[in-house]
Amino acid sequence: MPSRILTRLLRALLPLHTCDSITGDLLEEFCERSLTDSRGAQRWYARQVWSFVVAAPLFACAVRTSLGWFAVFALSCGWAIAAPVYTPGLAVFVFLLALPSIGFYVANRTENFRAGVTASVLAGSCMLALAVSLILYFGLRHPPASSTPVPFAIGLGLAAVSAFVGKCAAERMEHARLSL
Amino acid sequence: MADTLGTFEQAVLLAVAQPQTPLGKEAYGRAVLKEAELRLGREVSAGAVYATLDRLEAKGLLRSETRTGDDSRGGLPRRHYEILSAGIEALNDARATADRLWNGVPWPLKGAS
Repeated sequence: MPSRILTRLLRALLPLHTCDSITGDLLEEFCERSLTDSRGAQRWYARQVWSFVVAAPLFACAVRTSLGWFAVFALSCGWAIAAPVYTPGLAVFVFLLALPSIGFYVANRTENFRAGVTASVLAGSCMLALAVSLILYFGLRHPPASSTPVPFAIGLGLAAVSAFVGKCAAERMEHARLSL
Repeated sequence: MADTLGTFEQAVLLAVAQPQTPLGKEAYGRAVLKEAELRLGREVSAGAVYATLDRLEAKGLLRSETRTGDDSRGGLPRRHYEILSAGIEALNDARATADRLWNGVPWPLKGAS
């Protein structure tokens, strides 16, 4: 059988109305190829899943948006550390602004709520990892470890709401365009 | 037809319209993928083929229908494609454009005249 992780990634990228048929096609081809070369079949399957990653509108859209916000977040962290008085408030503010923005933008561009939330989760995780690394590296003052998930949870909640709004806005615009 | 079909689009449409293999005649996703590889003489990524099929369907050149799949694919459905008259017209236009382009030009080219 093909890699379960790759199959899950594939199914997360595909639109709902074609998910099953495309997954079935790739499974059928994989089974035929694995009769003669099972390793080659696994490599082929991985190449095909990657082709969907780069072909998906989510990929370019989410990467651009997330990288942009990540850069802003990194700058705000740098400013917080370099400031005469350590003030992480701006970085937290940017974090709480970035996640819903990414969620809204990606969901709006791809008309896919799951895509918006997924992009926010991934971007938020990267930002959190950066923040934790900087705190540990510079030995900075920080809230208790148990409260770390709080801003993440708030950011994700806002991202989910924004993704929903973004998707609805895209659908309304499409309706309006078709009715003209 | 305002837009001329690209080479890859032509290969995918021809795979649906004029399949060369028994598998190709079934005209579902995997069959179109194999036919396109045969026509182009190289491995083709599934992402590109399915994206092209969706685009051609959105342009009204193809239509698709989902049918029940068999056990070889875990019971997952198959999506079968059928070319429409607009698709045939688009292929004919693409062929005519290529013929006009190469009219009077010897093949293979050996250098600037």
